[in-house]
Amino acid sequence: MMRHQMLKVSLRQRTLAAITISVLLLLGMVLSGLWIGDEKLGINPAEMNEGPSLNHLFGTDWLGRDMLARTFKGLTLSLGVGILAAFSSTMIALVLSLFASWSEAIDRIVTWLIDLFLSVPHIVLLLLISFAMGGGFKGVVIGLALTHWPSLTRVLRAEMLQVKTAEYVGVSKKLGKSRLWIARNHILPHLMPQLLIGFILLFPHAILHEASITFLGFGLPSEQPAIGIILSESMRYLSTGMWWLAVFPGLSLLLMVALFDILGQSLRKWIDPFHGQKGV
Amino acid sequence: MLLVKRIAFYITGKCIKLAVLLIAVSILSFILVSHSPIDPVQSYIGADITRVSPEQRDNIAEYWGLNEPPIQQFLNWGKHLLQGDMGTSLIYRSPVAEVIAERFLASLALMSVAWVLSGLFGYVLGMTAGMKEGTWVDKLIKGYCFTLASTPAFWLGLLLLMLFSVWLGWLPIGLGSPAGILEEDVTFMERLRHLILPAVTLSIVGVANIALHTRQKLVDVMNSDYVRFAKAKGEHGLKLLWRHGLRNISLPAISVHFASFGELFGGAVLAEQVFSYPGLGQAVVEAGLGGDVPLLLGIVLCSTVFVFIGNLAADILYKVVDPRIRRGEI
Amino acid sequence: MALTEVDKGIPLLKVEDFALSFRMYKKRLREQRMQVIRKLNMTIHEGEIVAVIGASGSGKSLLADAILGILPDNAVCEGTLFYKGDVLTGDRQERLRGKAISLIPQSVSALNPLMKIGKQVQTAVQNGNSKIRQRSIFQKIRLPEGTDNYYPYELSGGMARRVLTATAIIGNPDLIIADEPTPGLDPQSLQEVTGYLKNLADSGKGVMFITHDIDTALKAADKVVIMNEGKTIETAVAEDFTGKGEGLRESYTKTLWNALPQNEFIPISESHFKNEIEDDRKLKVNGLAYRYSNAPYLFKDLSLSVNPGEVVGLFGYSGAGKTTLAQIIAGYLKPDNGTIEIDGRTVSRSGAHPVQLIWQHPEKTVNPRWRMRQTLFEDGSLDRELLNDLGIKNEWLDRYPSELSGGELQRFCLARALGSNTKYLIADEMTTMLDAITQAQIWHAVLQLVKQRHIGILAISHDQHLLWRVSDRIINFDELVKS
Repeated sequence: MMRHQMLKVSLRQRTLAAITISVLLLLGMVLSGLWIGDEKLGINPAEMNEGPSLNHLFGTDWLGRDMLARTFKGLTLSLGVGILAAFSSTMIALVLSLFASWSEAIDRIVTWLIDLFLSVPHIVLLLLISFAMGGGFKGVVIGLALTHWPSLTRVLRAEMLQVKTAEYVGVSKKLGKSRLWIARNHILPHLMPQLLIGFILLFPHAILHEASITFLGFGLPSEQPAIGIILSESMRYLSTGMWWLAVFPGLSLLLMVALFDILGQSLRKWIDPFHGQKGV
Repeated sequence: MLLVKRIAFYITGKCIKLAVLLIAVSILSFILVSHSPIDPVQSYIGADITRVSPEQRDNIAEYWGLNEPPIQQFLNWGKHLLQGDMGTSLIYRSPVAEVIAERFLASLALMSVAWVLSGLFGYVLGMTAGMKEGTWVDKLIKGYCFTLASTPAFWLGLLLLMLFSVWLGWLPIGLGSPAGILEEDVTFMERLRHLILPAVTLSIVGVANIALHTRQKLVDVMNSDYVRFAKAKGEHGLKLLWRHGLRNISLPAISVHFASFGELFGGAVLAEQVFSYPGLGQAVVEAGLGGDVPLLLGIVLCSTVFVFIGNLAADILYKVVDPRIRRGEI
Repeated sequence: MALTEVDKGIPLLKVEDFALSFRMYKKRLREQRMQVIRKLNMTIHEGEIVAVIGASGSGKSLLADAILGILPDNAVCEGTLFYKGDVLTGDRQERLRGKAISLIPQSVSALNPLMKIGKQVQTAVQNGNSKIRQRSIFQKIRLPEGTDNYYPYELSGGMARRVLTATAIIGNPDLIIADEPTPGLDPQSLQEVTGYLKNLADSGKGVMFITHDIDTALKAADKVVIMNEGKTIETAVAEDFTGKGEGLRESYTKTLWNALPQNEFIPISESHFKNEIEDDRKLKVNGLAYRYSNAPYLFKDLSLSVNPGEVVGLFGYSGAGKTTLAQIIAGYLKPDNGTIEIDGRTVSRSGAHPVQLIWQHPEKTVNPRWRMRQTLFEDGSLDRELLNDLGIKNEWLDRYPSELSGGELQRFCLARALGSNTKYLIADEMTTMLDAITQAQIWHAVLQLVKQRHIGILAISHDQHLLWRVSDRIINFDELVKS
């Protein structure tokens, strides 16, 4: 009995641990990516096509470049793009949902916009925007920013409607508070946690989509060591059996995306234990 | 009688919605495309000047209304669209409508196999997890789904390609059919062999969403007042699950699965690229890379209709579930 | 327990030192153990109706779940349950529930919304031809033919209650647990329900009647178990609840009994209000009409008035549209027609409304993210004297709403509503969710404040006794709508 209780780690501790560990790992990834200089990414004809070894944990490619360094650089790049895109999308979502709370007409317009953007397959829309911007870094960031807000806006709008119709907001109105006061004191504080969590949970999507359209050839230019580029290049060497070119970079991308997901989910649990009664 | 009227009303409403949607999407995509540094007409003609005969050039100029303001160009395009003429594809040198029709069929085969498979597996996994909520089975399935949700679809395709085609050599590396054989001579089995890997990739990715949704819904139902009362009545085990779980979850689950057509299409674009499968997804990538504006716009509209149909099916299913709708009281 | 248990033989159900707690997660995932029931003792014999009485939210429904063995996984139980003398284990519960022990749930939400009624009732039949059994029981309980083909949403409130009862008794159980079967019912429906329960008891079954309303309980029960803070305070026979409660042993029970509006409550003051003001200084509602989009009119041409310093009781049963009226007068809803004037003028839309509404559920009317101090500040400044009068303790100011009880929260809501601008209060079932003692305390404070500040009150309730106590005059909502 005693032992059982000692071994039992509470949900709070587990959640906090998950948050800490994912933040640390993500920080580690980014810092090492930033720390890697250009010399590490250089061509080294002496070490071409080497499999994973202690010297090169992820192996080297057909130009003798260290895949570990390229992968980490690529992840940092992905993160940068992800931050820009997720931040802009979150801002769009916040502004649109605040607008939607103003009047029913605007709400209908916002809802229609959400439906419009969700009515074209996400990848196709990204492709179209990237095409319109002439591809490259700008095209990716703008494309990601313009296509990731609908789902978050939907969530925020629903939250907003819920607060807006809450009895305590009605009471506040009848106590003579202005709409602005209510927006600032009741609605915004309620939305902030949702916004933060939404922002973090947008990351995985943005990063995955960035990698996808880069892989398709619409994203970051091919001289950048982006994960999408690395993976699309690896396709050419698949039949030669150089599996490490695809496996490790992809796995690292998966890890990063999963870490952001875990971070977001744990934060949500911590801030707002939704079905908190369940003692799982 | 009332029901017929309501259905007619519903259909008209949805048709209007689709029309408005298509107009909005075409305006939006036309604006995007015309802002692109790649001018639709110039790229068309300039791409390979020697292969464009003066006659063709005139055709194109007539189609788009060269030198006219963008609004006029858009109206020209729209007029042709309404007449069923989507223009001529630059890369494929044939009418866009034909290209899309042929490619769409190939994609449809891929997507429907993947859709059915992921639906079945996702549903079963979700039910299992929901039934055993909180146990290690549940945690395993949940973990599996969350991992899948973080997995880049194209990377998964690459892994499968490496494993089954390069190492094991069980399945072909790419293309919808073996090279060097005439289209008519390709056997059904050959086609199937080329379909397997992309379809498997696509269905593995699609499982996560439906499984997590089914699980959550089942958990909600099991905590509902009516399951409490059913338990109090002495119902238990599989019977309880059958009467109250499956009944209340199944149609909504299928509905959610229909609503995921957008992601399905996106996944198909990536899978087709990895496996060089000659479907609509591959065509849209090539159209984008090659500056083939008519094809690009055509596919955008086509995929919009595809997603709309999925959402429509979802909506109808939701309505069918509701006994009030079935009794014709709303 | 000096009751005559010995000569009744082995009880049908015996609950011994029962305790129940939950593992819960609060904000920031702090694990908490919520003790719902601390120490509960009771027995039910065959042919007996035992009422279990506790305030709303005191975990009475969970007692039903515990007896049936259908508690959620995160519940922890202590103590022992005996059924017909033997310990009620999980195995036995599984065998008995639906057969020997059955449940009458509170509302129609206990029916599967996508399954026809007949089918749902039939699933409760363990052996025999379920269809015939279902038909005969529907006849017996006077459900119209064809009801079995209905979906739950097609049932009226009364039919739903009968269906639930039918489901509970179709398996011919020995012990029936009725979980709050009478929420805010009109006397006729109440009579019907209590009639059923009595019939069941007369045919030799044991009935456990869970409710928060002593008055209702006494209409049916033989024995009453009073719970407070999760403990059995006293088990008394129904006859003890007479007079000033001389037959009751515990002081809490006595206080509770005497706090009932029909008993001591607050000494009725002579109607302090003389109907002499004939000028415009009053809340005047004229010709109100309202309906929800396509539904029939809740009321057309409804008029009433409240004078300053007067307490007007508005009486009506649940579902009649009283709450809608309250929200219209307080400016939450716009009427389709009619005017609301205060001192001869219509109310401007901006600024603090001179008519403040006190809602039935105080926990919904305060921002859950705010400490109580901030909630009070929403109305301006802290009026120490007012807080004192309402019995608000200083240390409550720094707590969050989730850390206070319903009664404590309602005091805050009153304090917030009694700002300097407020001329009228509408108390919409203000104390319905509270126990009788708290109800009496709050009304006591409110009536004094109202006199001091010359504020008019429109008190809305389904509780006639309460309105008799607090009001200067009473209006019947039904008559108001009809006229």
